[in-house]
Amino acid sequence: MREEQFIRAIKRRKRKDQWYFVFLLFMGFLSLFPLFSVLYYVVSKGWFDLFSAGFLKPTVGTLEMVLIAMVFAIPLGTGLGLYLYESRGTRMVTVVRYTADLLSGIPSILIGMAVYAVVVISTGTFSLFAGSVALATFSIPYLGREIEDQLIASTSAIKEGALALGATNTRALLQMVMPVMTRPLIVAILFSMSRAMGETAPLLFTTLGNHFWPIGLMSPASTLSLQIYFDALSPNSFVQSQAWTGALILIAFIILLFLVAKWITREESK
Amino acid sequence: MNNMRKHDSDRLFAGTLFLFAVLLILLGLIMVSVMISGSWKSITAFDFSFLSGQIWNPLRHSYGALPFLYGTFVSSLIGLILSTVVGVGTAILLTQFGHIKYVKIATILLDALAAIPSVVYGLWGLFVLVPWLRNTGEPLLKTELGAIPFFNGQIWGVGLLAAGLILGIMMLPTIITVSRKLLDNVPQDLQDGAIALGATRTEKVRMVVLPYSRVGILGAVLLSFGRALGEAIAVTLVIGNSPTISTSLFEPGDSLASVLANQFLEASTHLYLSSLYEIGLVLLIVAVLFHTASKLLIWRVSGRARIL
Repeated sequence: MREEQFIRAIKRRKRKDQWYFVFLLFMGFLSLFPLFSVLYYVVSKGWFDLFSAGFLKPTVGTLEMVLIAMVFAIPLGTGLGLYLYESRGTRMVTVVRYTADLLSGIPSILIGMAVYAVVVISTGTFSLFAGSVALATFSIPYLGREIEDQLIASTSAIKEGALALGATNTRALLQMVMPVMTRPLIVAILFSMSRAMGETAPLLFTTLGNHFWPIGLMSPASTLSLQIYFDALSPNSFVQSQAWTGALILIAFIILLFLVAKWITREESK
Repeated sequence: MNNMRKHDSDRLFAGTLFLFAVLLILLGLIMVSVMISGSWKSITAFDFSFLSGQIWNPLRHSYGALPFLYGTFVSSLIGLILSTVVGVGTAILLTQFGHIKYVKIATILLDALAAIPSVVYGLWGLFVLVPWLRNTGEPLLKTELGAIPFFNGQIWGVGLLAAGLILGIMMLPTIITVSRKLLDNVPQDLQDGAIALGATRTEKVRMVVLPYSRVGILGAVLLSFGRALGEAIAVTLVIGNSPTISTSLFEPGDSLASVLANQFLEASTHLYLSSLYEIGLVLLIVAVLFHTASKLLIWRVSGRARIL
């Protein structure tokens, strides 16, 4: 019977479709499983030591270093973003954009080596400042590209309006476009801060780590990421367990930055 | 007169912006020149034997980078295979099968996956994944698939397989995000056409959606592969840090980035330091190659729009 064969064929294809769906669900589960496992271990192993004083120094070190990195990265990254937006279409901008993508994407340990060779050797000491320079090196291109994207996405009508009313290009950009850009700019800054905060590799050869309070910006300092790394490598199981506390604090800061970013964009969409 | 001034201020502004671009190019050039000048001694001393040398023993002045190249590529390849299957599968699930509500939640969770720092993945890998591999995962693989040389060897826990798994997890967010955007870009007409012709969802994905976005997905995979090659911290914690070349994935190995993390500050002679710079140079070249190839592929399919 042809009809029966036909129905059987359809049923088989439907069953195959359902199995495929189950397979995809399993893939989705596999994607999220590491997240839940990591969060579970970080919270359950990290919380009991949370309020001991042991992590005050690295926490202060991380915040100081990221903020100093941002002092470099925000103006330079914004300038770069404006350049990329303003000079669209030229050959030079293609080269600059490619370099920016490369610099923000190359293995971060190489940035650590370069900053070691330039800053650490010339100042003669490992330092919190050198770490900031390393973090800024990949934050500048990252911010620049983000800002360029935001400018392209949101502002050409505003700028054209200002130009049509007779404003110079400079005025249109600085007085009309940039105020609208405030929120996207802050969000981009928050994301680059959260990335800079978690980086370890570029700090190994620049900031080195320090068990004591650093003396000013030009001395070795401890950060959360470095502390986690060194604690994890320690043979002492008590020290190892402290690494989880460091991870908890670090992730808490990153989540905080994300929540602030989400809150800012929520306000915007209303 | 007034017109002139307008013009001048714009020119000044454009000039100022140009300085920022020059600064960035300068940063890139410093990067390259540090790597080349740092490794010059090693390049002149070893030539290409540096890349093919199998023994790395600074105490005996023997510098061969092959074990690191091997460990880097093998561990990244394991990560690549796992994360491509899981990541593209997840992207298909989210774009073709998902309900809006679940997709939104999943998106937030995947952002969180991308935001976890590599050192935390390394920590989790060392104290959760590695013990599991040692006690459960690797013995199971050995009894089931021991006939294949990859899964036949002494069991350590740390090693190429552990590094590959961690890299796979770290590559997932990029692959999922880029694949999702590419799958969303498949014209709805084509998809509706497939459904109208009686295709099931599975058949639609296999015959229409995937062929349309294949090249872009390859770009996404290359991009995340290029990043995995340079991951230092997480890999250092789980790969075992032993410069050997072994067929078994259970054996400890070492990678370009992790040997830098471990030995750069300990280099006691000029030649030792210089050969580490050369490893950095090799890593830089490899990363640039993969980055460029993936950008070209993604650009080709997305018409230069920036997907990542």
